[in-house]
Amino acid sequence: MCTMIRIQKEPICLDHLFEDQTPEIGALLIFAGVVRADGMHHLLLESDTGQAERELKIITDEAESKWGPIKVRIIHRYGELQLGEVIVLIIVAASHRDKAYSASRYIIDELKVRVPIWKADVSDEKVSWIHGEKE
Amino acid sequence: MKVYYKTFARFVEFFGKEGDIELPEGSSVLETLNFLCSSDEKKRSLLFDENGMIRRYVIILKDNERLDNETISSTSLQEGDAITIYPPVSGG
Repeated sequence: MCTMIRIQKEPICLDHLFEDQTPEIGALLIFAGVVRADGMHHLLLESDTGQAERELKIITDEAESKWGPIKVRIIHRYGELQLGEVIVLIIVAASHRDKAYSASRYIIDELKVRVPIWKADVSDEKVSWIHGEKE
Repeated sequence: MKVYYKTFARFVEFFGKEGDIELPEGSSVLETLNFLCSSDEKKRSLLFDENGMIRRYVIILKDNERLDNETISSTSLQEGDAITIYPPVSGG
C-alpha cells in the first residue's frame, strides 16, 4: 500500500483502497468523517486544493517520523455534500495497532487546524461558515 | 508596485476572492495586510488581535510558504508578488 493524498469533488469510492498490502502490515485503521445532521440542509466545502495536498503530505511525513514506518491514504472532499456522505477518509497501515491509532488521530487533529479546507452550513440558501476547531 | 492577494471562505465577503493593490516598492507583507484593512475595524479584527498580531489561526502565505508574525513584518514584496490569506480552517 502506498501513501496517497487526494482532495476531490467526487464521492469517495472504496474500490482499490485496500489493495497492495505488504507482509509487514498488521493493522489497518480507517477513519471516516461524515456529514452529521446539525440543523442544516447540506454542507458546502471550499479548499485551496494544491496547498491542502501539500500540507497533508507534510502532516503525513510528521506522523511517519513519530510512529513510522506507516502508509497513509487520505481522501478529502470539497463542494456540496449531503447528510451522511463521507467528508474525509483516512486509512493508516502500520505494523501494529497502537501506531495506527496514534498516527490516525494525529493526522485528523492536525488536518483540522492546518489544512486549507473550510466548511459551511447551508440552509434555505443561507451560507454560514463554520469556525475553526480551536478558534 | 502592484501586489496580488487571494482569500477564501468567510474572508471573501470582506476582502473579495482576489484582487490587486498598489503599494510603495519594498512594502512588507504586514504593510500590505494593514493596507487591505485600511480604516475598516471589522476587517482589521478578522486578521489582527488586540495586540496588533496576526490572529493565531489566520494563515498568511507567500509563494506557498506560511509566514509567522515575525516573517510577516520582515518579508518584503516585489512587483507581481502574491499573498494568500486563509481564515481559520475547518476541514475534516
